[in-house]
Amino acid sequence: MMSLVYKDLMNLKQQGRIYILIMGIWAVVAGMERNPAFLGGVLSVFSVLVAITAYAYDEKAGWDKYALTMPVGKKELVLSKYVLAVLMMACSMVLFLGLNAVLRTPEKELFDLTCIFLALGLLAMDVILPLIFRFGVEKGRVIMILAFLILSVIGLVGSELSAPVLQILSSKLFNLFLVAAGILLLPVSVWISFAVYRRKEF
Amino acid sequence: MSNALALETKNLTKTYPGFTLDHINLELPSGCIMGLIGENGAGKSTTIRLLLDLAKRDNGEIRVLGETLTTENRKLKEQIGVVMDECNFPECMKLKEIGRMMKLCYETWDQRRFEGLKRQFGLPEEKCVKDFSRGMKMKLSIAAALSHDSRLLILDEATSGLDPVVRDEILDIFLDFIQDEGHSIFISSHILSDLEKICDYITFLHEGRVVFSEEKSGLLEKYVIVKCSAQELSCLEPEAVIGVRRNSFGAEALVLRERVPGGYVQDPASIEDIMLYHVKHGGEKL
Repeated sequence: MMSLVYKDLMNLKQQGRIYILIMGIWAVVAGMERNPAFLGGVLSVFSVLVAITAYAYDEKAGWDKYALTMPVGKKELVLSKYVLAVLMMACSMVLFLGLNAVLRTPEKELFDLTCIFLALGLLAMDVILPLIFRFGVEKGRVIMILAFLILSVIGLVGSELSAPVLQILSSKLFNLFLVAAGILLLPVSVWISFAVYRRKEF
Repeated sequence: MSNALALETKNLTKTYPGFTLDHINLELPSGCIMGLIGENGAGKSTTIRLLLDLAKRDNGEIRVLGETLTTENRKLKEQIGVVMDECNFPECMKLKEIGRMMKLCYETWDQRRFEGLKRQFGLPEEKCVKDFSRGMKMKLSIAAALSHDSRLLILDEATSGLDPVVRDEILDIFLDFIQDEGHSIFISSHILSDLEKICDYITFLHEGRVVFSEEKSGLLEKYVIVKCSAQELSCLEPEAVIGVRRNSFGAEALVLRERVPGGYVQDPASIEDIMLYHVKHGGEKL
């Protein structure tokens, strides 16, 4: 497992420099605008984006086929991408909380934002990674775009909702529920990914 | 030579739409090299994928080093070195990083051996895999396969695309590896001259079926190329003639050596001749 995560980190090193630069610019813009949500939105999808990029590199090199001839099992190959995404999410959160510390974001707002972006990142990971394992990066990308479109439509409809509903949606309890859902769905997502990947032939 | 089998398949079968790998029976004794030959699409890579559990067989049995190989059998995989037809290392990694990754992966990883092979092959430290030439990439894969406790090497077109000098160098390494009687090699290749140089056994696949799987020396003993006139050809026993190639002077035929009467001009048959006459000229029999 360690070897696979190490491999992804080393392989993505060059790409990572570009990501860090983009994040840095985003953080500066968010700081200047005094709008941490600006950075949070990007960071929430960053972790899953890194995992997808790592998988795209693996596909290109035919890595999985080779890795499975090494002392590595299919379960480890699947889990390693989740570990990578969670690791990236932890780094994103450190950056996000750091920016908020600089901006002195009020506690209630910080709590809500952290919950929302954490939940968004986790849910994106829960949904997207099984799709990638099932369809590969190319086909998976199309499905991802469709999923984002549907989410945007839901968002648009949501914004038209009446005030009491919106109040529920922005409540502390609901935000905590979202994070809990993201965490609880993680093992389900891993299980689905593994079930899909186990049947794969190379 | 030990009697243990490094590799054994019984009635190995796998069906894809339009292609069936049909009841493949192989036996590779420990301490030997078996070459798998056949045209493109004959089923060589499918056989290797099945051996490595990268594809699921429909039927039959596979024993690798006496055990059943599954992708989850880590202990057994420590003892198998694999080289695919292309280098599958992530393309943005450098040698030092690959060494570290393999050390984290293999309990038996021998970093000193890897360093030695790197130097012997002249692999560049500072380049990423994507900037390696095809030859360098294959050498890297071979170095990795030899740097852990491999008892069996499974090589799928490992020498294709390499120049003769590099190929010769690599064949020497394989011959060196096989000096240990507990080591064995299963290699598929299109370069039949390479296989003829190093193999103890040759297995010929054609349209998903094993045409023969025999000791190389026995095969070379078994067949001869007979050069004769059309009339002389007609005097040969039809069942002894494997295939015929007619030309303006008469005919050349692959014939079972012991069934050739005296007085015929005979040339030794190479593995390439044996394969080609079985397939290409096999349609025209007496």
